[in-house]
Amino acid sequence: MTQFPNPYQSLPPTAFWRTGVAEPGLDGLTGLWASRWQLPGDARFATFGSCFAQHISRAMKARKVAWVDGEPAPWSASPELAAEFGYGVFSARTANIYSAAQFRLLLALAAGQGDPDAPAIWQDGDRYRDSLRPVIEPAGFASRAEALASRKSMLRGLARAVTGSDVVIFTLGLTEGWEDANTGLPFAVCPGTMGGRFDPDQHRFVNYRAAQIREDLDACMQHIRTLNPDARMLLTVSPVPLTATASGQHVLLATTRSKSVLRGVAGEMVDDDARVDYFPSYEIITGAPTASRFFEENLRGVRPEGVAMVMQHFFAGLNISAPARAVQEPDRRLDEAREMRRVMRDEHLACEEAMLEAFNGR
Amino acid sequence: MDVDSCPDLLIMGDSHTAALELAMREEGFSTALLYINGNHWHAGGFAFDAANGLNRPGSGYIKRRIARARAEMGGVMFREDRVVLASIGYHLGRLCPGMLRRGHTVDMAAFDANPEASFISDGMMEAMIAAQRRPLWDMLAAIAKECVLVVVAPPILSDDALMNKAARFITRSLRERGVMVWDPREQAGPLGRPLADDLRAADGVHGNVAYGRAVLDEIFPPAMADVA
Repeated sequence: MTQFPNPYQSLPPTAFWRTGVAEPGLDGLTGLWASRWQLPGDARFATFGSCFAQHISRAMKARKVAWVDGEPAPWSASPELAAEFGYGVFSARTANIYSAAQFRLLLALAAGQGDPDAPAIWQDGDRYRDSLRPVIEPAGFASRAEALASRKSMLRGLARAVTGSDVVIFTLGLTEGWEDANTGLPFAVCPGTMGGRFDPDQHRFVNYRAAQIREDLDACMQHIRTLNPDARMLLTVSPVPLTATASGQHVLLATTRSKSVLRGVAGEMVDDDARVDYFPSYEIITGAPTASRFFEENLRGVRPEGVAMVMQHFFAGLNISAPARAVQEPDRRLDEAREMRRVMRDEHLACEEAMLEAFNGR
Repeated sequence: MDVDSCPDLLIMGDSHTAALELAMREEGFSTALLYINGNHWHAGGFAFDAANGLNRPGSGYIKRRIARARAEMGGVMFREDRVVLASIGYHLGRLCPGMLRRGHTVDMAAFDANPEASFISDGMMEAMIAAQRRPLWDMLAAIAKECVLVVVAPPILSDDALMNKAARFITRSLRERGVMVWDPREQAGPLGRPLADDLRAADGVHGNVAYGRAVLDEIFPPAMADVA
């Protein structure tokens, strides 16, 4: 066959399946991602999204990357207790955010747009749950007022996280969700599953279509820029399949549709907005080279070695070669430790003095 | 000193023992005192069982204090016919500042008033307190089986929401373990309010002898003579 000059002749090996995938194999994959931004050496990252996003938070902290915690746990809480209450899992106590619609709502409220009291608070017996994050408080809240105060605290934390970060990493999880039929406000989960009571007249299933997700993500970007004009958004798609689908489809088909739509929208966001990038978590875990080896036996959970490979590619492609900012922020934890030692010392003195009075013979 | 001639009562705990000790002495009662700085109670590590008594492995200073109190009590610190007042299990001055160190509050009004504040739910506050104090509460519950133990909650120093919420939770937690607690937050009158000047020690963060006397009058009505 006669070959005429064509665009494929000048493409790199990674553009061809044989040289890009089949021959290097899983461990030889390179160039899956190269950040489109040159970030400063002390670039700060905020992480939100579906449950897979927790792995990204954890890896960033482990690598001592500047991970922003907009809503830190109280100083005296142990890491285990803090995690039990949803602190330090994401960059604010949002809990898992599965849909773009939910992230849009949270960012809007954090940016001061909308009524933070509007999304439902579910009453379960004498306890109350936030419909935006029903299990953030293991035993629920003591009152509706407390649930709302905690929600506002989270929104402040979310605003601080976005304001304080260079890159907001958002892991897209699902296209399927549930909304309030009257207000259109999204729930984190279907009412009745982790709080609240399902009412078919009040709660509506929605399988977000690509156009709606795109609109939601564009709105997310606008809210992020309202809070921080210099911020960028790095999208990724969770490789974790749906636990269940309410779409009427087989869950395998529903998962494929969901992930495909999310992946497609993310790609188009990157095409259209230089402040948006995409990192291929989904491809690394689910792509043909892995032959599903990164999934747990339930074919859903991601094995630690899979997470490690995702993060290996993430850090390989991250470009933080620009000069770090001149002003070094003081290490808050050191300051806190010093201050607490001072408080304890003063307490000690005050109490010893009180005891001296006990030996007053009069 | 043999057991029968030992002091009427043992007072043990942190610096809030001072007011009680002074008041008892003013009333002419003999007391043994086991004072250990609140920082040590806060740090934990104490152990108690009926066979070996109270102990804190690794600390010579505390071991000596415990040994002295035990000797004062005739070699047996806790007996079923012996009253023990304890200011243990609270130590709010150590417990609370750490919770607020990063701009948190448990007070909804204070949270609304300060846009920089973060809010702590009661559930989180209680979990943090329990994580730090549970061993002391369990120890007190074990001691309560060996003697007549009354835990005396610290005085109300101010309207501070965290201090008072924390104290109430600790009181509840101790009672759930079968420990008798006297808590000023449940009192009507001056004891149930932030300490007035005439009940406040010079350092501002403890009750004085008048406060101690008033507390003992509440714990041992109608006459303190019944204590022994």
